[in-house]
Amino acid sequence: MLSKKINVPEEFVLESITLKRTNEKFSEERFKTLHENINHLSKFMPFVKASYSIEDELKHIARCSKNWDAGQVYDFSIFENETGKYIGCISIIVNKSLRLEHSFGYWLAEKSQGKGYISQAVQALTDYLQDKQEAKRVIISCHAKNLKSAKVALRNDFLFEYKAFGLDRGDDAYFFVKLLDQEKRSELLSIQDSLKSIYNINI
Amino acid sequence: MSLNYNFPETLVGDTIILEKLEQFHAEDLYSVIDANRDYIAKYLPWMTENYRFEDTAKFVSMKEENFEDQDGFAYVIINKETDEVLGSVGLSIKSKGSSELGYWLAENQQGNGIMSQAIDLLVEYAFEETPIIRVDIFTLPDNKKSMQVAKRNGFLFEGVRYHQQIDLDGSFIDGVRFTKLKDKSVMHNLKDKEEQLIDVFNVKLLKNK
Repeated sequence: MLSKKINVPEEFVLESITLKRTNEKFSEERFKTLHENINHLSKFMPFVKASYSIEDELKHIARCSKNWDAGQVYDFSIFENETGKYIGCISIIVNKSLRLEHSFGYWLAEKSQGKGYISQAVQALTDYLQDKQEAKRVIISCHAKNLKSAKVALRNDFLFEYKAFGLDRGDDAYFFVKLLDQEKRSELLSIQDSLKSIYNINI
Repeated sequence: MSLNYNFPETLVGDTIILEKLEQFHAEDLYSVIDANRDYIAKYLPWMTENYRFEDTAKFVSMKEENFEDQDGFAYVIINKETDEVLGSVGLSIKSKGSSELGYWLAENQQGNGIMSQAIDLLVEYAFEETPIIRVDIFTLPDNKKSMQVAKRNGFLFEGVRYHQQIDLDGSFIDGVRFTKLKDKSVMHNLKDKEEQLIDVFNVKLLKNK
């Protein structure tokens, strides 16, 4: 059974990218990448704005480190294997309530999109959580207008579970889930079309 | 920037008072829990054979910290006339403006509208006086009373979360999700879809209402 605190490896070397536990050595690269992508990221990440400083970044990284040690959020920096460049981040978020659920949060530099990098990261981390930690539910939630994120979920065999109205600052969100139990997965799979039709979702 | 929720120490209703859960309530609360062990164990995963007063005291400490940290706001439900502790109700903050409601009531106090009154007091306060714009309730698929309370208080069915929590026997169970939103027009959008969602998720206890 999955306990709340898990020993997640600090590095995943994948086909085109490497995930490394975020630490302050990456702060300058991360800060630069965030600023180069302000227009692209600020739509769905309200903290990304011109006033975001290197001090904010260092505070963020200190929080990441504390959360990792507490077993609450495991934040990885994503590096492109070919160039060694910092291109984004992905986090495993452990639900803080009694529920046994893990979710992902991620962002990627605009230039690095469309290459399947986030899919690679999501797949590797989901496989790790379900194969090694028997995570019953892994979820991806996204802003209802963030169709790119929704597509990442579907491409990685996550199933649409529900739309939460006004979830975050009044905006709607979609929830996708990957269930370990095959019977439950089939149950949800059988109602996919009906659910998408109710919400008029065309992804 | 974190939001300030400003929940009060007491909320007063017609027949009940909600008091911020504090350590001096622990003994009375444990007495009610102890008298309702079998009933609580049917629906709440924290109730086990080994549940002791120390667990209540620890729970209360955690809730006091949550209140201080603005992560959650737990209250005991007290009979206004007799000062008797009847149960508990609370809101946990999940994301900015979004929260989850949890509650339980002594079995012999059910059917008198007490829980509806408690939920109404807390949710109305949340919507009128705090930045909360969304309150969720999760019930087990066989917890008819909890579903009825949710519906009676104007919550709408939003979906089912499969295998969302572990039962005492180690099996995994689904959660039935209800929600209430501050924005009436968004509630109206969900209301339009509620019957179809109940059908698709095949929630038997909500059908033919």
